[in-house]
Amino acid sequence: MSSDIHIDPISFQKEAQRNPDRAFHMLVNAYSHMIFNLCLQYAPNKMDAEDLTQEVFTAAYKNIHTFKGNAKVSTWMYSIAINKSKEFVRNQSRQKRSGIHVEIQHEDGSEKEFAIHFDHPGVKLENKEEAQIVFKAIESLPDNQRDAFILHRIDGKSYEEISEILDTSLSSVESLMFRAKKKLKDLLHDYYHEKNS
Amino acid sequence: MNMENFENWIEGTHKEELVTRTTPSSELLQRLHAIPNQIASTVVKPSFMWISAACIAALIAFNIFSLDKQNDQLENTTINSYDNYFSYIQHL
Repeated sequence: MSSDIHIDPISFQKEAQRNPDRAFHMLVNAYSHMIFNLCLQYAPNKMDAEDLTQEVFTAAYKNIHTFKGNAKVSTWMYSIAINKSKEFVRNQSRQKRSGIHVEIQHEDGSEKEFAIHFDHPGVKLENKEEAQIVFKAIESLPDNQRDAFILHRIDGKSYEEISEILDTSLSSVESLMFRAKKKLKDLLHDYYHEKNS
Repeated sequence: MNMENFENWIEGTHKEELVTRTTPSSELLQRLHAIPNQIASTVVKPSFMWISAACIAALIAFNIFSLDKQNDQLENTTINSYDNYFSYIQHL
Protein backbone atom coordinates (compact mmCIF):
# COMPACT_ATOMS: atom_id res chain seq x y z
CA MET A 1 0.00 0.00 0.00
CA SER A 2 2.94 2.29 0.74
CA SER A 3 4.25 4.30 -2.21
CA ASP A 4 7.04 6.54 -1.02
CA ILE A 5 8.81 8.92 -3.34
CA HIS A 6 12.51 8.80 -2.61
CA ILE A 7 14.40 12.00 -1.83
CA ASP A 8 18.15 11.63 -1.40
CA PRO A 9 18.83 12.62 2.25
CA ILE A 10 22.26 14.17 1.63
CA SER A 11 21.11 16.41 -1.24
CA PHE A 12 17.96 17.27 0.74
CA GLN A 13 20.04 18.32 3.75
CA LYS A 14 22.23 20.55 1.54
CA GLU A 15 19.14 22.05 -0.09
CA ALA A 16 17.55 22.65 3.36
CA GLN A 17 20.64 24.64 4.43
CA ARG A 18 20.93 26.51 1.12
CA ASN A 19 17.28 27.20 0.33
CA PRO A 20 14.82 25.95 3.00
CA ASP A 21 11.75 27.12 1.08
CA ARG A 22 12.68 25.12 -2.02
CA ALA A 23 13.51 22.07 0.12
CA PHE A 24 10.13 22.43 1.82
CA HIS A 25 8.27 22.51 -1.50
CA MET A 26 10.11 19.28 -2.41
CA LEU A 27 8.76 17.75 0.81
CA VAL A 28 5.19 18.82 0.04
CA ASN A 29 5.35 17.45 -3.50
CA ALA A 30 6.83 14.13 -2.37
CA TYR A 31 5.06 13.39 0.92
CA SER A 32 1.75 15.29 1.15
CA HIS A 33 -0.12 12.22 -0.12
CA MET A 34 1.61 9.85 2.31
CA ILE A 35 1.26 12.14 5.34
CA PHE A 36 -2.39 12.99 4.62
CA ASN A 37 -3.23 9.28 4.48
CA LEU A 38 -1.36 8.61 7.71
CA CYS A 39 -3.17 11.52 9.40
CA LEU A 40 -6.48 10.04 8.26
CA GLN A 41 -5.77 6.97 10.41
CA TYR A 42 -5.54 9.16 13.52
CA ALA A 43 -8.12 11.75 12.53
CA PRO A 44 -10.59 9.75 10.42
CA ASN A 45 -12.37 12.68 8.79
CA LYS A 46 -11.23 14.99 5.99
CA MET A 47 -11.30 18.27 7.91
CA ASP A 48 -9.30 17.11 10.95
CA ALA A 49 -6.87 15.15 8.78
CA GLU A 50 -6.20 18.24 6.63
CA ASP A 51 -5.58 20.39 9.71
CA LEU A 52 -3.30 17.71 11.14
CA THR A 53 -1.40 17.43 7.83
CA GLN A 54 -0.89 21.20 7.88
CA GLU A 55 0.45 21.00 11.45
CA VAL A 56 2.87 18.25 10.42
CA PHE A 57 4.25 20.25 7.49
CA THR A 58 4.45 23.43 9.58
CA ALA A 59 6.56 21.53 12.15
CA ALA A 60 8.68 20.09 9.32
CA TYR A 61 9.31 23.59 7.89
CA LYS A 62 10.25 25.00 11.30
CA ASN A 63 12.70 22.12 11.89
CA ILE A 64 13.97 21.67 8.34
CA HIS A 65 17.45 22.92 9.29
CA THR A 66 17.73 20.17 11.96
CA PHE A 67 17.42 17.33 9.43
CA LYS A 68 20.48 15.09 9.57
CA GLY A 69 21.42 13.40 6.33
CA ASN A 70 21.89 10.04 8.07
CA ALA A 71 18.17 9.10 8.04
CA LYS A 72 15.61 8.72 5.26
CA VAL A 73 13.58 11.88 4.60
CA SER A 74 10.38 9.82 4.69
CA THR A 75 11.34 8.37 8.12
CA TRP A 76 11.93 11.90 9.42
CA MET A 77 8.54 13.02 8.07
CA TYR A 78 6.81 9.96 9.55
CA SER A 79 8.35 10.68 12.99
CA ILE A 80 7.00 14.24 12.92
CA ALA A 81 3.60 13.00 11.74
CA ILE A 82 3.40 10.35 14.47
CA ASN A 83 4.26 12.88 17.18
CA LYS A 84 1.75 15.43 15.90
CA SER A 85 -0.92 12.73 15.56
CA LYS A 86 -0.35 11.62 19.16
CA GLU A 87 -0.77 15.25 20.26
CA PHE A 88 -3.98 15.43 18.24
CA VAL A 89 -5.42 12.24 19.78
CA ARG A 90 -4.45 13.45 23.28
CA ASN A 91 -6.19 16.81 22.68
CA GLN A 92 -9.28 15.06 21.36
CA SER A 93 -9.38 12.77 24.40
CA ARG A 94 -9.02 15.83 26.67
CA GLN A 95 -11.93 17.51 24.87
CA LYS A 96 -13.91 14.30 25.21
CA ARG A 97 -13.29 14.29 28.97
CA SER A 98 -14.43 17.90 29.15
CA GLY A 99 -17.65 17.02 27.32
CA ILE A 100 -16.91 17.92 23.68
CA HIS A 101 -17.31 14.63 21.83
CA VAL A 102 -19.34 12.78 19.23
CA GLU A 103 -21.63 9.98 20.28
CA ILE A 104 -22.51 7.02 18.08
CA GLN A 105 -26.05 5.75 18.24
CA HIS A 106 -26.12 1.96 18.03
CA GLU A 107 -28.93 -0.16 16.67
CA ASP A 108 -29.89 -1.31 20.16
CA GLY A 109 -30.27 2.31 21.26
CA SER A 110 -27.12 2.40 23.41
CA GLU A 111 -24.63 5.17 22.82
CA LYS A 112 -20.90 4.70 22.62
CA GLU A 113 -18.46 7.56 22.87
CA PHE A 114 -16.04 8.15 20.02
CA ALA A 115 -13.43 10.84 20.62
CA ILE A 116 -13.02 11.82 16.96
CA HIS A 117 -15.76 12.32 14.39
CA PHE A 118 -15.60 9.40 11.92
CA ASP A 119 -16.03 10.14 8.24
CA HIS A 120 -13.01 8.51 6.61
CA PRO A 121 -13.02 9.32 2.86
CA GLY A 122 -11.06 6.13 2.08
CA VAL A 123 -13.73 3.79 3.48
CA LYS A 124 -16.41 2.36 1.20
CA LEU A 125 -19.94 3.14 2.34
CA GLU A 126 -20.80 -0.56 2.80
CA ASN A 127 -17.75 -0.98 5.09
CA LYS A 128 -18.35 2.21 7.06
CA GLU A 129 -19.88 0.62 10.14
CA GLU A 130 -17.21 -2.07 10.39
CA ALA A 131 -14.42 0.44 9.73
CA GLN A 132 -15.78 2.67 12.47
CA ILE A 133 -15.64 -0.24 14.92
CA VAL A 134 -12.09 -1.12 13.85
CA PHE A 135 -10.95 2.50 14.15
CA LYS A 136 -12.51 2.77 17.59
CA ALA A 137 -10.71 -0.42 18.63
CA ILE A 138 -7.41 0.91 17.20
CA GLU A 139 -7.95 4.21 19.02
CA SER A 140 -8.23 2.35 22.32
CA LEU A 141 -4.83 0.62 21.92
CA PRO A 142 -1.84 1.91 23.91
CA ASP A 143 0.12 4.60 21.98
CA ASN A 144 3.05 2.48 20.74
CA GLN A 145 0.89 -0.51 19.80
CA ARG A 146 -1.49 1.79 17.89
CA ASP A 147 1.39 3.50 16.03
CA ALA A 148 2.99 0.17 15.07
CA PHE A 149 -0.32 -1.33 13.95
CA ILE A 150 -1.31 1.71 11.85
CA LEU A 151 2.12 1.92 10.21
CA HIS A 152 2.24 -1.80 9.39
CA ARG A 153 -1.31 -2.90 8.73
CA ILE A 154 -2.84 0.28 7.29
CA ASP A 155 0.19 2.12 5.91
CA GLY A 156 2.05 -0.97 4.69
CA LYS A 157 5.38 -0.30 6.41
CA SER A 158 7.80 -3.14 7.13
CA TYR A 159 8.87 -3.91 10.71
CA GLU A 160 12.36 -2.52 9.91
CA GLU A 161 10.90 0.78 8.73
CA ILE A 162 8.62 0.97 11.78
CA SER A 163 11.59 0.41 14.11
CA GLU A 164 13.35 3.38 12.44
CA ILE A 165 10.28 5.62 12.58
CA LEU A 166 9.46 4.80 16.22
CA ASP A 167 13.17 4.74 17.11
CA THR A 168 12.95 1.32 18.71
CA SER A 169 14.36 -2.18 18.15
CA LEU A 170 13.01 -4.71 15.68
CA SER A 171 12.09 -7.13 18.48
CA SER A 172 10.11 -4.35 20.22
CA VAL A 173 8.12 -3.76 17.02
CA GLU A 174 7.39 -7.49 16.75
CA SER A 175 6.23 -7.53 20.36
CA LEU A 176 4.12 -4.37 19.88
CA MET A 177 2.46 -5.89 16.81
CA PHE A 178 1.77 -9.18 18.56
CA ARG A 179 0.11 -7.43 21.51
CA ALA A 180 -1.79 -5.00 19.25
CA LYS A 181 -3.25 -7.83 17.16
CA LYS A 182 -4.21 -9.83 20.24
CA LYS A 183 -5.89 -6.84 21.88
CA LEU A 184 -7.74 -5.91 18.69
CA LYS A 185 -9.03 -9.46 18.29
CA ASP A 186 -10.21 -9.47 21.92
CA LEU A 187 -11.95 -6.11 21.48
CA LEU A 188 -13.64 -7.16 18.26
CA HIS A 189 -14.55 -10.53 19.75
CA ASP A 190 -16.26 -8.70 22.64
CA TYR A 191 -18.06 -6.48 20.14
CA TYR A 192 -19.40 -9.44 18.13
CA HIS A 193 -20.30 -11.29 21.32
CA GLU A 194 -22.33 -8.25 22.52
CA LYS A 195 -23.91 -7.80 19.10
CA ASN A 196 -25.02 -11.43 18.81
CA SER A 197 -26.31 -11.80 22.36
CA MET B 1 -17.31 -8.20 7.30
CA ASN B 2 -17.81 -11.06 9.76
CA MET B 3 -15.67 -11.91 12.77
CA GLU B 4 -13.46 -14.31 10.82
CA ASN B 5 -12.84 -11.74 8.11
CA PHE B 6 -11.99 -9.16 10.75
CA GLU B 7 -9.44 -11.50 12.31
CA ASN B 8 -7.97 -12.16 8.88
CA TRP B 9 -7.85 -8.43 8.20
CA ILE B 10 -5.98 -7.86 11.47
CA GLU B 11 -3.50 -10.59 10.52
CA GLY B 12 -3.16 -9.13 7.02
CA THR B 13 -4.39 -12.27 5.27
CA HIS B 14 -7.74 -10.82 4.16
CA LYS B 15 -7.79 -9.82 0.49
CA GLU B 16 -10.13 -6.87 0.77
CA GLU B 17 -8.64 -3.69 2.17
CA LEU B 18 -10.79 -1.87 4.70
CA VAL B 19 -9.28 1.51 3.85
CA THR B 20 -8.15 2.79 0.46
CA ARG B 21 -5.69 5.62 -0.12
CA THR B 22 -7.16 9.09 -0.61
CA THR B 23 -5.69 11.89 -2.67
CA PRO B 24 -5.33 15.18 -0.79
CA SER B 25 -7.43 18.03 -2.15
CA SER B 26 -5.88 20.85 -4.19
CA GLU B 27 -6.94 23.28 -1.41
CA LEU B 28 -4.83 21.33 1.08
CA LEU B 29 -1.83 21.36 -1.28
CA GLN B 30 -2.21 25.13 -1.67
CA ARG B 31 -2.36 25.51 2.12
CA LEU B 32 0.80 23.41 2.49
CA HIS B 33 2.74 25.33 -0.15
CA ALA B 34 1.71 28.60 1.55
CA ILE B 35 3.25 27.59 4.92
CA PRO B 36 6.67 29.32 4.35
CA ASN B 37 4.94 32.64 3.54
CA GLN B 38 2.63 32.35 6.56
CA ILE B 39 5.54 31.65 8.90
CA ALA B 40 7.64 34.44 7.39
CA SER B 41 4.85 36.95 8.07
CA THR B 42 4.29 35.83 11.68
CA VAL B 43 7.84 35.08 12.86
CA VAL B 44 10.15 38.00 13.74
CA LYS B 45 13.55 37.60 12.11
CA PRO B 46 16.53 37.36 14.55
CA SER B 47 18.30 40.24 12.74
CA PHE B 48 15.29 42.48 13.37
CA MET B 49 15.33 41.51 17.05
CA TRP B 50 19.04 42.37 17.36
CA ILE B 51 18.53 45.73 15.64
CA SER B 52 15.62 46.53 17.99
CA ALA B 53 17.70 45.55 21.04
CA ALA B 54 20.60 47.71 19.83
CA CYS B 55 18.25 50.71 19.32
CA ILE B 56 16.83 50.33 22.84
CA ALA B 57 20.35 50.05 24.31
CA ALA B 58 21.44 53.19 22.40
CA LEU B 59 18.37 55.06 23.65
CA ILE B 60 19.10 54.11 27.27
CA ALA B 61 22.77 55.12 26.89
CA PHE B 62 21.74 58.49 25.38
CA ASN B 63 19.31 59.10 28.27
CA ILE B 64 21.98 58.33 30.89
CA PHE B 65 24.44 60.61 29.10
CA SER B 66 21.87 63.45 28.87
CA LEU B 67 20.89 63.08 32.52
CA ASP B 68 24.53 63.16 33.57
CA LYS B 69 25.18 66.29 31.47
CA GLN B 70 22.05 67.99 32.83
CA ASN B 71 23.15 67.27 36.41
CA ASP B 72 26.55 68.84 35.71
CA GLN B 73 24.88 71.94 34.24
CA LEU B 74 22.48 72.19 37.19
CA GLU B 75 25.38 71.92 39.63
CA ASN B 76 27.28 74.69 37.85
CA THR B 77 24.18 76.92 37.78
CA THR B 78 23.63 76.41 41.53
CA ILE B 79 27.26 77.24 42.31
CA ASN B 80 27.00 80.40 40.16
CA SER B 81 23.83 81.52 41.97
CA TYR B 82 25.50 81.02 45.34
CA ASP B 83 28.54 82.96 44.12
CA ASN B 84 26.32 85.82 42.93
CA TYR B 85 24.35 85.84 46.16
CA PHE B 86 27.41 85.96 48.37
CA SER B 87 29.42 88.20 46.04
CA TYR B 88 28.98 91.18 48.45
CA ILE B 89 31.25 89.36 50.90
CA GLN B 90 34.10 89.77 48.47
CA HIS B 91 33.66 93.56 48.76
CA LEU B 92 33.96 93.54 52.55
